[in-house]
Amino acid sequence: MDTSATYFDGQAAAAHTVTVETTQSGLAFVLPSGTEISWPYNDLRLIDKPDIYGRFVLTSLSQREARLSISDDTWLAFLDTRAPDLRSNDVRARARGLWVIATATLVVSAAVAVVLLVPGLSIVIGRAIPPSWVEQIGEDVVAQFAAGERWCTGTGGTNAVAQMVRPLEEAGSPDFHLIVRVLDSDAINAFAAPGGRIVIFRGLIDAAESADEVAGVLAHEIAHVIHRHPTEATIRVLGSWIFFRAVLGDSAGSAGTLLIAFAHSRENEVQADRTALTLLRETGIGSQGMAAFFERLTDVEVESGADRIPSFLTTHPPTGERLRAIEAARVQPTTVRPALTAAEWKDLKAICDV
Amino acid sequence: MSDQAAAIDERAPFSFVGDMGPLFGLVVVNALLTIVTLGIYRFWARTRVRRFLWRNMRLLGEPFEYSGVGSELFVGFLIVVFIVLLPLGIVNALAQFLIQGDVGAILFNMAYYLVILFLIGVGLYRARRYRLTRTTWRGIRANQTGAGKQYAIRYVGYTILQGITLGWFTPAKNVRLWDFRLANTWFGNARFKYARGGEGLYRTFAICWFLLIPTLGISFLWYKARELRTLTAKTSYEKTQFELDVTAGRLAWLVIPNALITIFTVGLGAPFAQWRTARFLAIYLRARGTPDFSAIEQDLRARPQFGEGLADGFNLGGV
Repeated sequence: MDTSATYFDGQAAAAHTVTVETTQSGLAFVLPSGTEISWPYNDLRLIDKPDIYGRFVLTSLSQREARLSISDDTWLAFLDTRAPDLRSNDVRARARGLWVIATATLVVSAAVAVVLLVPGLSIVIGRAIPPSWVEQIGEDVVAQFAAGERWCTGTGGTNAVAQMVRPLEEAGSPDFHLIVRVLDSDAINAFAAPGGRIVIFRGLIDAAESADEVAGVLAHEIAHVIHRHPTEATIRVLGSWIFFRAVLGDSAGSAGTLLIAFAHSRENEVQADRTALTLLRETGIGSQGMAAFFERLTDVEVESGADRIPSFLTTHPPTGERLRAIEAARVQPTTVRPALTAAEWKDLKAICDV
Repeated sequence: MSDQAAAIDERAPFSFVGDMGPLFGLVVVNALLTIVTLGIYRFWARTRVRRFLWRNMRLLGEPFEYSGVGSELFVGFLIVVFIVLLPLGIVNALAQFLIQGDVGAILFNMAYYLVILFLIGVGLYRARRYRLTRTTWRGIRANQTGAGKQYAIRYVGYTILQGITLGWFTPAKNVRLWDFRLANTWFGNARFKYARGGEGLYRTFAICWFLLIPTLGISFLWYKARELRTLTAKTSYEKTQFELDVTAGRLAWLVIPNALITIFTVGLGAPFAQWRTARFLAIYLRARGTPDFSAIEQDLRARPQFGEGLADGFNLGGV
């Protein structure tokens, strides 16, 4: 069986037309210069699959840079029966195993560093940053959230907020002076930003049936400030964002960052709930308002199906879980007093009225 | 019979024989694997697409060969992540905290973008070196000499001049960078040559510059076609002269659909754009001359072990 082929010797770019013969042990051909070349079947390697015209290119382990270009692809079927390693890719640059293992180790250790070290580092860095900077960051965060919304500044309501905050702040004595504001937004929500900034959404005040319920949520946010959670979370998210974006690129990097943010925020919520209960006991407000509020939120979640979201994907533990924890830890103060007087509560409800 | 001094005078010495079908399967599998691996597979995906494009491109009937492997790109990228991107990200984040005042922030940003621009220049040049050293035709390898930082210094300087002159430096920049790249491009033991000049471009550029706003930027395609024709016509290799038969219309039909394909597939369809570019080159790139193939010997220069980390880190694209 003979075929015409083009041979390139791998030393110069000249083409040599040769007639290739199959022998017992391999392929044999004679160059125009008279040089005889034989490539054993065991050494044959296919450079690329045949193209649409059936042209394919061979090389040999004994002459790695030489090429034999054959246009008859029935030959390929024949060579497949004779050359056992024809389709092995061992002539390509080897994936340098050591390098791949070394860098994989590097990546894994860096990822571990981000998951295990960044939380610790964020605490250290958080304490090293001057308070005035933290407050500035907090203002920026609040401004971003409040973009396009109105701050509620009713005089009576503002006084009521101050009345509610003062005993809780005295009981907890956070590192930052608290600045609590109400945002004219329908969302049932509240959050603490770095630097003692706390924002309560009007929707939450509307949804509450008593001042004690609002006080429960406020105590929870103040507890976050006491534990410096907002500052640490900001540093942690920023740190992991730098890392993941560099390694994974934009979109996947953001997903990785979110996972880290979520993972730690759940521990923080549980810690904040515990501290909030202590604050509520010390101020004589008690935890029944907080419990009642979470109970109603649980009903809403069950109705809307939100309780079926896997708990590791939410920043807050399911309210049902939190409710059970609150009720289990229920310690009532000896003398219970309402968080606000009836008149103050009425003022707070009307804080956003213009 | 050996074609020791074969004349290249065919009308189309290049041909591209790759069909869209096999590429489609490749792109779908690549996209799925890239998503599943959070993007890490992209280096192997890119390698498979290149192997497809290279082996289907032929010169004088012989296919090109792409000999790179995915792990070279992966390791190249990791090295850049740890010695360039992470430090850069940390410096930038720290600066946001530490630099107070507008003047400080502006000065920092200028320095920061200058560094990025320089690294982009290095990245583009080194990525080109990697691709050339992984390109083989008739068993002979290509290569690129010249230091990345030399190219990057020019790249940064020319880009700044381009901005200061409201774009009027563009022809000079493109001619000079093309000259630098070509004079450092080797196939085997012989290098490409660029005949100096290209000043004639300025007449076309002036007309197109003034028409830029009335034509909503389309006049730039007219200039770009003229520039590509001129640069290619002044390029030679071993007594072989090149010619790119491109017009503004042909260029528009190449780059506008390519941009749309890439945008609407969020980059996953970029191989189709590359496929169209390969076909475009096979049709319009001509060569004429009598190279002495037996005198073109194997390239024995050093080749980089890993590749394209910087280019990938800055999303510089390319094939």
